[in-house]
Amino acid sequence: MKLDRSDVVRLGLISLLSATPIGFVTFDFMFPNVSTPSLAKNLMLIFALSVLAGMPAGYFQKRTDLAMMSVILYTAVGYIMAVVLYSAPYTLYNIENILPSFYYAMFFRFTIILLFLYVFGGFVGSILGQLIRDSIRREETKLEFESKPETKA
Amino acid sequence: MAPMRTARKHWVTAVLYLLFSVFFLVCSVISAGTYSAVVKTQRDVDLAHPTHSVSILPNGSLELDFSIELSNPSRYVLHSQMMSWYATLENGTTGPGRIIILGTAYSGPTSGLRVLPKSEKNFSFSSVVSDPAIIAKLNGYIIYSATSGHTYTLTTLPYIYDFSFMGTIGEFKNDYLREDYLNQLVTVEVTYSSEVMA
Repeated sequence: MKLDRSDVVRLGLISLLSATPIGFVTFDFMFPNVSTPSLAKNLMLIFALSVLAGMPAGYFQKRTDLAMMSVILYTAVGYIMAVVLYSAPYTLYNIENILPSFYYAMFFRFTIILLFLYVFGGFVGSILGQLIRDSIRREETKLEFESKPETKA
Repeated sequence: MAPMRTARKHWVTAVLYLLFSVFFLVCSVISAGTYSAVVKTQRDVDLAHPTHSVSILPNGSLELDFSIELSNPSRYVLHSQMMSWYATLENGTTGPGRIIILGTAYSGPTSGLRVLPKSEKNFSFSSVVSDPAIIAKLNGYIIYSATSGHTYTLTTLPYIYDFSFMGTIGEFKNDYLREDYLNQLVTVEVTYSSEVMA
């Protein structure tokens, strides 16, 4: 897989921007009673959001391999963000009642279905994003040709 | 730069994408703030200034008084789910009479008791022991203790006062059937014993 500088920048930007819904949903999945707003562990909503989060990866990148890689990257960054959110009270208030095993249990064992939904939904979203982009491009090209005066050969 | 050119060309989509991301970032910050405040509430809610006294009434009955202050420095209201108080004397012998119960009080979730944010609430309990059978047990304890070198009176016996408060924080959902950790997350439990304070 060849990557130039603009690909890396694109990957980085998408990884950061699409990671926020993943981070929030992962946190919300573990603590639905204290998060605002809450999806209340509704897997259908989470899948829909995963599709939505994956769409920019396909929309802003022509290469499908890069779009798929973006999905994996932003899911990883989202998980890191969720761990940071979970650690907030311990970081902010220096509360020592911390259970390290919770990190493993909450973010990998309990959320394995979420991980599947994020990646699968992200792939579906990136494909949809590419389809939308192609459709818009076709429409733009059509309009461009229609606006030009006809010339006889 | 190519990504910037793409963003400028598809600026409507780029702005929507940015808004989408910022929305979830804000939600995350708010949620983490709430979560931190809830965990901090669990740490900060505490019992303070316990006082207890024993006196003998003119009719020979024993009166036990107890008061304690529950401080709630958090921004959330605490809704009482359970509150209990016990005044006992440990008899030291085995069997059903080991604990001599001198006073009890209990209130459940239907009491509607609330502790307002950033406030202290004082709880006072009193019990009058007039049952001759219990007074006889206490006197028996005094006589038995004298044989092992302890000189007690009815007012100086080593009574044990236990107080327990369990409340839910704010209006957060706390009736999950399977996810008990979520119920525990928004629950505060503080206990006091005149022997050990927890």
